[in-house]
Amino acid sequence: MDLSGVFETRDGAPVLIGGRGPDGTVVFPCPASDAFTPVPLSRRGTLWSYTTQAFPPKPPFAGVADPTRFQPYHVGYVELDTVIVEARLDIPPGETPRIGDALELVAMSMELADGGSADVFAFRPVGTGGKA
Amino acid sequence: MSEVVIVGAGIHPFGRHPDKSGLDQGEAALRAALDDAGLDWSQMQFGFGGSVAAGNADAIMPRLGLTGAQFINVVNGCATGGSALLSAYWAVKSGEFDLGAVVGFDKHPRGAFNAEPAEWGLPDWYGEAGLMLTTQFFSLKTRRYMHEHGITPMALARVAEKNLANGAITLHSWRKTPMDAQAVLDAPMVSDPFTKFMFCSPAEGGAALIVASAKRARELGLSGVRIRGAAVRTRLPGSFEVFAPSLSKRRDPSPCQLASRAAYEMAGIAPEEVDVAQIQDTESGAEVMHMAENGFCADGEQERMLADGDTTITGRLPVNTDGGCIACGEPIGASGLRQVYENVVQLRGRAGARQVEGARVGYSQVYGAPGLAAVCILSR
Repeated sequence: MDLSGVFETRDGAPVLIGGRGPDGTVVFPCPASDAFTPVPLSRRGTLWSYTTQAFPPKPPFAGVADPTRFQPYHVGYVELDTVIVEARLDIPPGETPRIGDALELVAMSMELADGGSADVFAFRPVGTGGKA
Repeated sequence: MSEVVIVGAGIHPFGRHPDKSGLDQGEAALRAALDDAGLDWSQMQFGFGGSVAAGNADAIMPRLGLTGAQFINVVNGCATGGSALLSAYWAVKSGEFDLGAVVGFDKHPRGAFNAEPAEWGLPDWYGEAGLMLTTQFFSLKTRRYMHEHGITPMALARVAEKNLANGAITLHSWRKTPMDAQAVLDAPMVSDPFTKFMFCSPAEGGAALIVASAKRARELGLSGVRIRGAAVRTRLPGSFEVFAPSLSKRRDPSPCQLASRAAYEMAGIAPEEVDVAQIQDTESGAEVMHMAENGFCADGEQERMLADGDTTITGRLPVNTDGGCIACGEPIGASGLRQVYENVVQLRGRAGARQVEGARVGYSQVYGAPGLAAVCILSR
């Protein structure tokens, strides 16, 4: 999964790269256009909305979609200081997130259908440990 | 400018038809619309038609007759049917033509839609990481709306209960089994806050309309339902749309609000004057949000309206009288035209068990990827 220029490690911590447009507004990811300047996004935010992905997505989903092994996962929009970003939530499938929860950016290992794994960006409740 | 009327409407039942192609279903709908008007294909000066996943609509021409008439294939995401109708409306309103056909059909595989990120101008990782599903968008938008406006899961269940009840008394619907709100609520969760029966499913079907100028209709001895306003609108920078890796913190009006306002203005009709409405119910949250976006209530009022049965067939504003997408499924190319078909049937007083008494003004609205909406307002 190619996340170069989107999700990086800086000073030992994960960071998302957005783009600042000519009018000052920030979008994510940074569009491939000279009109946008790449900017690191804040690593902390609050949960703005959420859902659960309870059924295996079809391709191009790269994770394990075999119905016998598929693990439901949470997806949310996280409100940062400049923009609201969509991301996986690193919260156990059985737990229910709450809008307004304080979250921080982490690298979450995702098991891939081809047997490998990839680090994807995710947010999880602040102070729940791990490699934030 | 010519006044535009719909003089014929036809439909092929929605659902699953393993022995029929999408084109077969479009052809059947078009033949039904021609029969309804008592007209022949050779009289049609133009055709606008579309499907998203079942081939080119003009492949219907050899089946009905190669007349040399212009036929334009329309593919415009979830507003494909609405855009085909809008094109026909313009063609007649401008005075360029005075009689033609609109057809939409589709046939989708089972399960949720999947999308190729590159086709939508999005990076591959967005799909690979499991973030690019229309179901997630509707869930995320509805969850936020519930939080801001006090909508409960029971309100979502009531929408499904109503639409399944309406579908059970509709010939062209797919789902014919009524289900009470508690059973809808207790069904397996598909995408929080939606359970299995709150979602529509991709499906199959066809719908067609015959459109004429009012003058030509009179000459042919046909009575029609008038198209009072029709509009397609797209998204603004601050709207909250499907397939959005990020959202602006500013909230602009939605494409639905833009299309709705434009159509009301063209029609000279206010939301309070609408007697029957078919609005996009990809899932029950979409119907709840679209009630407000189309001007039928303020944000949050839906909770009480649904509890009071205001949107049932005998209620103050009947919504999705044929069961909507929840009961009919969603063949994308046909879905918007199904709504207009249903309004034509209602305004002619031919809806049988699901007839809205005295319906004079019918409103329809589709919404879909990548953030567009189509609205059409009809009157007797």
